[in-house]
Amino acid sequence: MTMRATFAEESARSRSIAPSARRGSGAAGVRWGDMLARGFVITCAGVVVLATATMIAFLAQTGIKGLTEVGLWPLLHGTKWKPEADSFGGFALLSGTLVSASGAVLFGAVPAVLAAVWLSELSPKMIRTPFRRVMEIAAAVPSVVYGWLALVYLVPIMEHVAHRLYGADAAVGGEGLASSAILLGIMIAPTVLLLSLDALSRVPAELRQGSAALGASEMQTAFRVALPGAWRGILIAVFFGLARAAGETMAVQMVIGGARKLPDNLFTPTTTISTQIVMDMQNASPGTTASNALYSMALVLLVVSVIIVLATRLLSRQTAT
Amino acid sequence: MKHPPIDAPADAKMRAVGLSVQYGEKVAVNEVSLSLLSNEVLAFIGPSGCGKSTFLRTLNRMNDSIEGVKVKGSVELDGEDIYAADVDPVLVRRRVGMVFQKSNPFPKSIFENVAYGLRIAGVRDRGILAEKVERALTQAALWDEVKDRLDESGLGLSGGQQQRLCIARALAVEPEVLLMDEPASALDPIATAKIEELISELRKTLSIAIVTHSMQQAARISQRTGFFYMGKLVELDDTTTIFTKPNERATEDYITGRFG
Amino acid sequence: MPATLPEGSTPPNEANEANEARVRAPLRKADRKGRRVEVVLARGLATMAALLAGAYVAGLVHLLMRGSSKLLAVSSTPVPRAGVENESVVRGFVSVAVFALLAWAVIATGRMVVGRVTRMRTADENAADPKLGGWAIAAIAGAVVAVGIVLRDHVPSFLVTLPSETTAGGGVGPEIFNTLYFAVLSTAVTLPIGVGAAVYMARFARSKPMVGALRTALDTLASLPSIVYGLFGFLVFVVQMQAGYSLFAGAFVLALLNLPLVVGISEESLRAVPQEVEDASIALGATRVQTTLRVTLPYAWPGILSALVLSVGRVFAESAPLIMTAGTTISRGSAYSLNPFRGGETLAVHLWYVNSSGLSPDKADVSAGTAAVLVVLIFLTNLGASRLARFGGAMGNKATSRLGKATR
Ligand SMILES: Nc1ncnc2c1ncn2[C@@H]1O[C@H](COP(=O)(O)OP(=O)(O)OP(=O)(O)O)[C@@H](O)[C@H]1O
Ligand SMILES: [Mg+2]
Repeated sequence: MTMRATFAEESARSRSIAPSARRGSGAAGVRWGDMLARGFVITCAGVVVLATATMIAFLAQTGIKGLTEVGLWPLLHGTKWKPEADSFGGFALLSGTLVSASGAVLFGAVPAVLAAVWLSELSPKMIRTPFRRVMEIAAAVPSVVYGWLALVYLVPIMEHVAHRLYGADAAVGGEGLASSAILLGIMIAPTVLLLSLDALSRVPAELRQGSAALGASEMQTAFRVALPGAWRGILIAVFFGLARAAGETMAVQMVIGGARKLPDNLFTPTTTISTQIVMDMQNASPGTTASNALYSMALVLLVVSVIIVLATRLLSRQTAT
Repeated sequence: MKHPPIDAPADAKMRAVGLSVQYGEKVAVNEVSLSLLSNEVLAFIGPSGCGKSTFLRTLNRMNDSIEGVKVKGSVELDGEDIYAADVDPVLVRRRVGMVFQKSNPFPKSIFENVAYGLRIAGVRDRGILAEKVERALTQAALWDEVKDRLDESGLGLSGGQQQRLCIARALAVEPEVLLMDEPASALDPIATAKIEELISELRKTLSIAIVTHSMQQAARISQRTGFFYMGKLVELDDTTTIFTKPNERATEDYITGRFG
Repeated sequence: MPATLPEGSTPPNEANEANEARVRAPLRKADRKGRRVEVVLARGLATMAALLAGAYVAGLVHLLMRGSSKLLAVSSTPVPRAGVENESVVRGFVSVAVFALLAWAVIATGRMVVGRVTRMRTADENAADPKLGGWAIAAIAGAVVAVGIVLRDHVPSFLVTLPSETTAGGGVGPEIFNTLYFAVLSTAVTLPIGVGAAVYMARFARSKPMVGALRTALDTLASLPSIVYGLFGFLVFVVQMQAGYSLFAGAFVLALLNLPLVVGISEESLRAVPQEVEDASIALGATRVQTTLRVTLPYAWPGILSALVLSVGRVFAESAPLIMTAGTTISRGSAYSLNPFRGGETLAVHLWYVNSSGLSPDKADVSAGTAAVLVVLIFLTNLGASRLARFGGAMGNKATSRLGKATR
């Protein structure tokens, strides 16, 4: 660094003594290039803003059309989603989304956070990097792959569990909220774990030392200093996982059964907002209420994710002060 | 043993015998033997990188968490080897506290900072906690400054106050020995004077080993001073002797500012 | 030297009392209250973490093994061609890629083994793994390309044949092609716009409202579920423009989806460029734009590139928005066509489609094979991204040497 700086100063000095001719002649060209580059960069920024605005506007427009046709209350409250009977009760969809996403936090995020604490505070140092690598790959595995694995292995297991719980002849099966919650949990755990690890690594080592010097065991330091210190980052990680789980589509579609109604229990088919959108959109002719109502549900989903994001911000700001 | 113990009476509060510390291949502390007596302030001086901090950290096993550290020899606390296999370093640290160069209060309230060590040790009773927190803060000469804002964050204090908070935190668990690694090096003269005063006061109840880069400070606060050089304890004697007529040439050179 | 004070002779009473009490203060592990509980708890946590990691490893290994029956099915008789446009070229590429992967695996293992053996034999712990010279690499690359092209009809048929809706033995040739083609198309949009916006944010942002708008836009994009992107693409391209399903629509939507990621990481790596390096360039009389183009961007390039690689990984993985914009079918005539206005499915979409509406009797094997190819692709992009991130320092130095050249 110092070498470079010296070199730069040196040449700067020689330059100032004898300004080169090139500088004068190139000025016009430079200025054009400058303007062009500046213009390009500003255009790019503008395009991003414009594209986002357009996207929201388009969706909102169609979504609101659907809302006025169906009505907000019936849409959020009604339990029957039957486009062919002009019944658009989105409660089954919404509750499917919310229940499986919160289930995912329970099954995926909680173990992930605990594993992250263990890995960063208590584990033998040599396993940390390989463990991380595994999780990085697991986090990048496409959700459909998880969906397929769940379809092949998880659903039969859950079917077995269901019959254990409700009796062999009960009308229950492997498809339903239980499967989709576990699947989503498996899907989000690696990401939550990695983000939590990052948050934990940002807790200063001095605090851990200070705690140890007061006679705290590693476990006490982990749960009383490291975890509270990283709380904000971990919360963001969990909410990130929650948002991802709420928005997941195809993987959930593979295990949830696709029945457009409220389920009787966790082991009967139901549906989620995103699943229903992708399944129905192909068949709904544009402009009809059947199509518009799907956009309205997309708006609802959008509002759910915005709420999650805002909650994250709010909470993180509160803990910051 | 190659080096006979320079000064290691068996009934000292703490005693290191033939203590060596290695970071991987690098020997940071080499065959050091010394003792820390009851109710004394023992200062360590020496050029940067000579192993003072490393030695200090062996006295409460704070080096355990660093990878690749090898410790040879023994350290005794009241005659018990703290590196024995069945000794719990956590319990050692409850009896041998430590204050660091950089103040490191937890991002908690002032009260909770001081109560931390007590809570860790299993104290739950609110009354006892409040009482001990007050006593520790008073001992650390901080009580008057913070008594109205115990619920505010410890991070909101000034640098000197933060360091005294850390001292109070260490005192709250009533340690028998306090290790201080350049506790005043980041502070202004007024804050430093407060800490020095505090150390002289604390000596009445516990033993203190302190690393300092300021020879005046060592002279002001300590009864005995040890001079470290390249991982070895070159000389250890009464502070006045060390600063007026040291036995070793290297000590004299360092003290008169010829190196370091 | 002061004599040691005999216990209890002169010290203040208070200390003495305390000392009395402390002599019995325990140090043994067994003496610590709650230690047992902690040990059990730590073991529980360790077990849980091990199970978690083990489950993913087991799942991935199992998946690769199940898929390997499709992926390793090499035959001596040439795989029959479907006779569609570009088929031969695509087969060439796939075959070269397969052989390159093999060669890389062999060389990497070889280097590791040789390095370890030398370290053991010479007891020199720091001996580096052997390196291949430039010529050797060129020769191997040439050989790989040649062998790949010659044997292009002998790679596992699953990788180069068309899918089959109802009969067994379908492949994923067009799906692989589409997946990669999507990566190229969407990167072509993300790269300029994303980097441009990042440069704006990191270097040229003057107007407060614009910065605010851009941040809000990126935050909004980042928080949208991918299905919403799909819906938008569907509404614009399929419904409004009546253009039907197209790769173009899918790529556009994916590009939009990846913008927050690419802008975010690019901006971060642009901001990480040391001030001194830029100052040096400015001091040499370069304008801000020149400095940005010749110094800042090259310096930040590895970071930007790893963002792009990550975004490619997401292209491979996405399914819902593609189903809604590019459809779920492969049309025989344009299976390998470069025309971006045709529809077509990717590997991820195929994996879903086969399971939700596929009728072929071997759909379990096809799914396993598809998933395995996907996982291998993801694995490679991840490896690429982390390599690039590590590569960062080296590129930084290159950028400074360029600084000298550019301004001299
Ligand atoms: N964590 C570590 N890993 C490897 N080597 C270390 C580590 N900590 C210290 N060392 C080395 O051990 C030697 C002694 O370090 P130590 O910190 O004990 O010196 P010091 O006397 O406290 O110096 P200073 O006055 O600068 O604080 C130094 O050469 C240092 O480089
Ligand atoms: Mg030190």
